[in-house]
Amino acid sequence: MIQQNQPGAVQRPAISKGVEKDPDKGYIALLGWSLNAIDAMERFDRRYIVVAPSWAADYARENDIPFLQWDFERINERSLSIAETLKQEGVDVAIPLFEETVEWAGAINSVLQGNPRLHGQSVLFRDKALMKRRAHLGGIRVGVFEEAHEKDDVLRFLKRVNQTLLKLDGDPNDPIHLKAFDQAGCLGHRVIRSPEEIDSIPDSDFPLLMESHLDGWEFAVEAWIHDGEIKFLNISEYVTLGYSVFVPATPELESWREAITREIEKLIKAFDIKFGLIHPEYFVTADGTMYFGEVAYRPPGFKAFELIERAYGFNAYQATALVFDPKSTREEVDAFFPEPVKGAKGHAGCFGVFPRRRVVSQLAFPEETANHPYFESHELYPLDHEVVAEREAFGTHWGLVYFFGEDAHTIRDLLKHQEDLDFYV
Amino acid sequence: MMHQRFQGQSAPDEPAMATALDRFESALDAIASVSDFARAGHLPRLFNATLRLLAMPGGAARIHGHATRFDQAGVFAGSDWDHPERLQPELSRGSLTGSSDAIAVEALSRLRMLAIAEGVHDHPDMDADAARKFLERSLVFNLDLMLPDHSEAARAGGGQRDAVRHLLAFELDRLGGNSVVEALVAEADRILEQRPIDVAPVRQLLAHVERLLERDDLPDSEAVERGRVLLAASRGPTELSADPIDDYVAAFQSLSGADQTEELVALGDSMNATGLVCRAHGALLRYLAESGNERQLALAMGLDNVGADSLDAFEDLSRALIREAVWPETAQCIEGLSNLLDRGMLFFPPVPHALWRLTRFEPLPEVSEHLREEFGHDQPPSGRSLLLAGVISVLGLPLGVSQGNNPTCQSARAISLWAQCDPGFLLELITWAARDNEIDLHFEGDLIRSSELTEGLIEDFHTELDTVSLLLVPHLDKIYWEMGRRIAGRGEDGHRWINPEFHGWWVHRGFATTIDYATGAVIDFAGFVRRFHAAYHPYYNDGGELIYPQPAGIVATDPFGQFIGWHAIAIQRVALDPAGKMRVYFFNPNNEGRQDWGHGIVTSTRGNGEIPGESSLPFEHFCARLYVFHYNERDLGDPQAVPDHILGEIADVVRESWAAEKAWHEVVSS
Repeated sequence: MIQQNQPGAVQRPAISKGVEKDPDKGYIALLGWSLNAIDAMERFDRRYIVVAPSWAADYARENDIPFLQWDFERINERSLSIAETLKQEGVDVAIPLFEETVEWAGAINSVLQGNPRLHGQSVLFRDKALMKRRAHLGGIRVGVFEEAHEKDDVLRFLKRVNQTLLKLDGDPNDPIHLKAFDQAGCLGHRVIRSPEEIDSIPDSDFPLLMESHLDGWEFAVEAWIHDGEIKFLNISEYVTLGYSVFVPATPELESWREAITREIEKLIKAFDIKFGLIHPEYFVTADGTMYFGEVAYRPPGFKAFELIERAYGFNAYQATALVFDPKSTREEVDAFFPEPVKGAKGHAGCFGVFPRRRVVSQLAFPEETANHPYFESHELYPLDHEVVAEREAFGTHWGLVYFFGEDAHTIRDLLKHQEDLDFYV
Repeated sequence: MMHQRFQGQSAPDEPAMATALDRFESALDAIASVSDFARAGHLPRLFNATLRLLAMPGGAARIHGHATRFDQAGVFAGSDWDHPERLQPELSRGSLTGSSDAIAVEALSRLRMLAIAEGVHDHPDMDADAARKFLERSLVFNLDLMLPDHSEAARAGGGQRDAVRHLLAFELDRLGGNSVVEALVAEADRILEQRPIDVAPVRQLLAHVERLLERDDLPDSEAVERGRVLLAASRGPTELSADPIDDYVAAFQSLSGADQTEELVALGDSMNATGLVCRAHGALLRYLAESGNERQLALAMGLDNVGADSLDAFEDLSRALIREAVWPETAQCIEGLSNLLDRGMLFFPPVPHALWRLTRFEPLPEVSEHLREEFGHDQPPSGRSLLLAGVISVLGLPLGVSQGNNPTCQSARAISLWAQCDPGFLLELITWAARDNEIDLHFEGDLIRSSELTEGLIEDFHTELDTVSLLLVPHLDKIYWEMGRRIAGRGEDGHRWINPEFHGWWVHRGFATTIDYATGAVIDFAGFVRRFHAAYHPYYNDGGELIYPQPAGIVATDPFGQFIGWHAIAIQRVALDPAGKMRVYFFNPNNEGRQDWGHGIVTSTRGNGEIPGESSLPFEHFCARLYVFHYNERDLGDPQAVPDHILGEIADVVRESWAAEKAWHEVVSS
C-alpha cells in the first residue's frame, strides 16, 4: 500500500470513460499538467498517462485520470528512475507540455527509444544561447547575440550593437532584447534602450541571453513533424507581441508560406528533428528575409492550440500525440491534418489583458468588445478589492479574451483595438 | 400596444442569426465532446453564444431547437441545474437578474424544461407536468422581467434584460394555455385584494393576460372570465368607456338620464370591485366636477353613506381636488379619493385646510420635474397634479403604501401610520418636502434637518413607488439614519428611542425586545412573550384594544424558517377572526403581504377578517417571529396569567427557526 503513495507509483483507474484505446498504437506519457491536453488524450485512441507533480494527484484520482506523480526539478542521477518506470509501464513516448519538461522528455525518450541523442537535442531547445548557435551553424540567419553574466556585459553589448549600426552620439539607440536562457515565450523578456535601464535588471535574472533588435514582422509557426517531414504548418500572426495572436494568418503573411516552409525545413535539418511539434518564432523583413528568433519543442502559449482547434477543427494535442507516437503510420498522420488555410472555418484569435491603469478595483468588460460579433468568451476574473497592477518585463496577462470570425483583417484590427480599452478600472 | 412588442418584432437579421447559431452549435458540440473535467473551460463560450442568440428576436426558439441535447451534453453537470426537480421557481429570479453566466445557464435550463414540458425531452427526474408547473410558477414570479424596465437598475443591466425578456416571452408563448392565464389572473387578484396604491405591476400582468386571451385556442374558464373582468376594469368596463377616450365625455352627454346613471354606477362598481380605474373614468370625473351634480359624483366614485356625507360636507373641496388631481393619466387616484371620502378623512380638522393648500400649491421645479420623470408617461400632468393625486391615494389607501425595492421599511411604515392617525402632520411633511426640499424632525430635543444630512438612501433608490413615498422617503431615510447614529453606543436596540420620536408621540415608550443587543443572544423569551400577551392579547390585557397602531419588529425568515433579516411592521389590531381564532392584524411595508415564513407560518391577506392591505397571523405564529414591540405600562395585564404551555410551544417553534444558532438564556426563578 505504501507503494502507491510514493513518487513513481502509477495510479491507473479501473475504467477509462473516453474513446476505446487501441493497444496496437503508442502509449503516450504527457509531461506536465494541462486539462485540455488530458481531455484531448481521453478522447483519443491511444493509451496515455499524465506525469505531473503531487499537487495534481488528488484531482487525477477523483477524475479517473491515469497518473504518475513526479516533481520536475533539475535533472540528476535519480531522474532516470522516472524513465525506467515509464518503460516498465510500456510507455512508447513522452510529450513535453511545458518548457520545464522539454529536457525531461528528451531524457526520458532517449531511454524509451534507446536513442541517447534525443536528450542532447532537447538541451538545445532549453538553452537559448545554444539554440542560436546551433541555428547559426545550420546556416539559418539569426541576429547578433551574446550571453551576459553581469550588468557590465549588457552595457557593452548595447554599445557594441549600436556602434555597429554606425549610430552617432545623441542618435536614439537601437534596442537590445534580454531573455532568460530557459524560460518560455515572453517570460523574462526585457527590452533595453538606454544604459540607465540596465540598472533595473535584477541580479537574479543573470545569466541571460542578449540579442540585437530585429526589425520586421514577427510571427510564430507550429509545425507538426513526422519522420522528418512537415505534416502540417500553421502560421500564427502576432498582432502585438505579448498581447495578441490569431490563426490562420492574414493573406499578406500567408503569402510567405513557401519561404517559411523552406526555413522550417532548414531548422528541422539543423536540429535533426525526426518527430514532434516545434514552435519557432521568426521575423520577416520587407524584402522577405527571414530571421530566426527562437524555437520551442512544446505547445505554444497564448492558447494557440485551442485557437488552431477553433479555426481548423482538429485537436492540436491529438495531432501532437500522433506525430510523437513511434507507432503512428504515415497514412494515419497524412489523413489527420486538413489543408492549411483553406481548411479553416474562420480565424480564431485571442487577446491577453493587462490592466492599463496602475490601480484597479474592478473588472469592467468593455461593452463594445462584448457586443462585437467576433467576441466568443473571456476568462477574466472579477476583482473584489483594489489591486496595484505591476508589470515586469512582458509579464503575465490577467486572462485571455477569445474571438472568432471570418475575416482576417477584421480580427487583426479588432485585436489591435483591444489594446486601447480598459478591461479593469 | 402590448402585444405588438411580441408580434411586431423586426425580422431578425438572418446572417447575424446564422452566425450566432453557428457559434452556439459549435460551443455546444465542444461541451458535448469534452471530458467532464475539461468542460468548465468551454462553458463561457456556450454562455456567451446563448446570450447572443437570446438577445436576437427569435433566438430563444433557435436555442430551444437544441434543448434536448443539453442534459446529455453535460451543460449542467455538477451544478444545481443538473437536478431540475430540485430547482425552485422562487429562486429563478436571482438567476435571471444575476450575472451573465447565471442568466445563460438559467436560460438553457428553462428551455430544457420547456422541452420536457412539451414532451420532446425525457428527464429521469422530472416529468412534463412538473416541468410545466415549474415554468408557469416561475413566469409568475418574473413577469415584470418581461416588460421593458426604465429603472436605473435595468439601465445598468444593459442588453441582458433584452435577452431575459425574449426568453420569458418565448416561454409564455409556448406554454400559453389556461394554466398560465389562471396563474396570472390569480396573481393580479391577490395583489389587488391588498389595495396597493401602485397598481402598475397588476396592469403589467393584465397586459400578458390580454395577449394570451387573444389566442383562439383558449377554452373558457373561470380564470379567463375573471381575466376579462380585470382587463375591462383597467381599460374601460362599459362599452362606451372602452371606446377611444376623446369621444367618451361627448358620448356620455348624449345618453339619457337613466343611461347616464347606469354608466356611472358601472364605473363606480367596477372600481370598487377590482381596485382598478380606467382612463375614461378620469375624463368623466373631470367633466362631472365641472358640470355634474353631487349625486352623479357620488355614483361615479362608488361612495358609501359616509363618503356621500363627506362629499356633501366638502363638495367644493372635492370638486377642486378632482379638477387639480384627476386626469385620464392619474385616474387611478379616484380609488384613493373614493376611499378618502368613505373613510371620513376630511373630518380630521387639519386635513381639509391642508388639502386646499395643496390644490393651490406649486412644488419646487426640481421636485415637479422629478415626479413627472418618474411618472413614466410621455405627457405627464403637472407636478402639482401628480403630487395631489399621490396625496389623495395615500390618505385613501394608507395600507397601500409600499417600500418597493428599497430597504426602507421604517420610512414606508411611518408614511402609512401618519396617513392613518396623523394625516395633518403627514400633509405638513409633504408640503415641506415639495416646497423646501427638506423636512425636519426632532430627536431628544435636537432639530434634525434632512437637507443637512448625507447618510442614507441617496444612491440606488428604487423609484417604483407611490408619489408620496417618492417624495418623502429620501428625506425620512436620512433622518432615520441620523437618529441611528445618535443612539450608537448606548448598548441597546435604538428603536426604543427612535420609534416614538420618528413616528409620533403615540408610539408607546415601553419597549420590549428578546434579543440581547451586545451578544445577539435570545434572552428571557418567555418573559418577552408573556409581556406581549399582557400588552396586546385581549384575553390577557383586560380586553384592551389597540387605539393607535404600534410599530413592531419581526424576524424575517425564508420558507425554510431560516433567518433573513430584521423587518419593521406595524401592529394594526388584535382581534378574533371569523373562525374565532385570535389573530394579529398588521401592516407589512414590504411589497408583498403574502409570505411564507417557514414552519407553517404563512401570512394571510384575506379570508381571515383582514381589511384590504392588512396581513394577519394567528397570535402564536406572530409571537414566533416577533422580537421587538412597544407597550404602555399603564395598560399592561398580568403577564403571569399566560399559561406555560403556550409559551413552550412558541419557544419550540422559534428555536427550530431563526434562533436555531443563537444562544438562549431564560430567566430562572427560584
